[in-house]
Amino acid sequence: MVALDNLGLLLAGIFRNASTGNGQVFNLKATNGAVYSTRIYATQGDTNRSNFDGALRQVQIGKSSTPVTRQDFKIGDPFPDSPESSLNNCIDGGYNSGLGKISQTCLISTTGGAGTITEVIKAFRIRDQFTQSGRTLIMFRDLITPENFIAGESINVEYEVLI
Amino acid sequence: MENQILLEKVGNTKNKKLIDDCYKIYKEKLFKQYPEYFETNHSKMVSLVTTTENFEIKSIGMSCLNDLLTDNWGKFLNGFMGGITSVNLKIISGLDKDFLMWGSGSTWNNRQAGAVGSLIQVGSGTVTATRQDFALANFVASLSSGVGGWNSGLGKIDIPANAIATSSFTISETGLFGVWVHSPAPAVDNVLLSRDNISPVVNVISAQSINVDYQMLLN
Repeated sequence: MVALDNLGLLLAGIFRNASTGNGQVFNLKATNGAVYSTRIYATQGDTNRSNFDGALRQVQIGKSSTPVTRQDFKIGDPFPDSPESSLNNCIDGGYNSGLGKISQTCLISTTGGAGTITEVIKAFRIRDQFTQSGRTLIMFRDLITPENFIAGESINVEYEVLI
Repeated sequence: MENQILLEKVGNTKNKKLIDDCYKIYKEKLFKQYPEYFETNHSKMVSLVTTTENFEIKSIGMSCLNDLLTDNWGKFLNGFMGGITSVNLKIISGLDKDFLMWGSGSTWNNRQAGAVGSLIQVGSGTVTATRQDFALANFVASLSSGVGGWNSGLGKIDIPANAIATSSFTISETGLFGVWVHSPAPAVDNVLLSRDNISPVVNVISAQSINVDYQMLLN
């Protein structure tokens, strides 16, 4: 599993102090290819909204075999009839202390023909600091052993992170 | 004793290259003892501690091979990556508190209640680190941190901190804390994310510079 620059920048930002000004600002590239100015910490006095929004648990499947780079910002070649899974289609497996493992499973319902999955991405949502609109950014992109699916089949994508 | 090879670095200049060199030593040892950490893409935190005078290293030590990130970090990361509304973490006093990950109100990252970010502590405790730790075993001093840098090429986050010692003591443990807001009544507290036993222990003499460099490795 390859952690992308978007995730590395945000996790690094967690450790920066934010006591004055607008907090720490990052330029992150969203899945639409645009770069947005975002902040880890909410502006002082901004009690009504977080910089993160609820539609965080998203995965997407695709059919590209282009090698992964940390600069990837979207899936290589998505199945047009298999959109991103939604929040409601994801199950929080929780954190297992004994194994030091975080697990999350998302269900994708395909509506088109058969295909072969070769890549998956996991995304999260953060608001840009100027419009407060939620933007989708990917944190992981991974090539997988090709997996065939048949028309209309539901697909489970499970992520595990070990600490 | 683990990490004895680091003693060869005493007398060197403390700079960025030294940190990378020590990490390389650590990683090579780690890979031999715990190859599964790399085969399964564990994230990993390491802590390098030095004391310096005029940038020359006087004493050096590093986290031990079997140190683990705490449950607090696992729960937080699960919420951060998974869109979970609230996670229950143990603050430095040992109390359990709810941290709102997103939504309206006093979220973990809301500065309404005061300054937020991170903190590094050093101590002289020797109790073995566990995932359930919420504080150092024997706290000695806090070091200002609040710095986090992402190295894309190496896939790691650097979190350095330093301070001038006002007394002489021994460092045998370090801790990295998130300084975050818990809810519903907004209040800032320290949350231990990584506690590390340091080997060899680092001897501090008053007026020396204490340097702690945490690195989080994202494979």
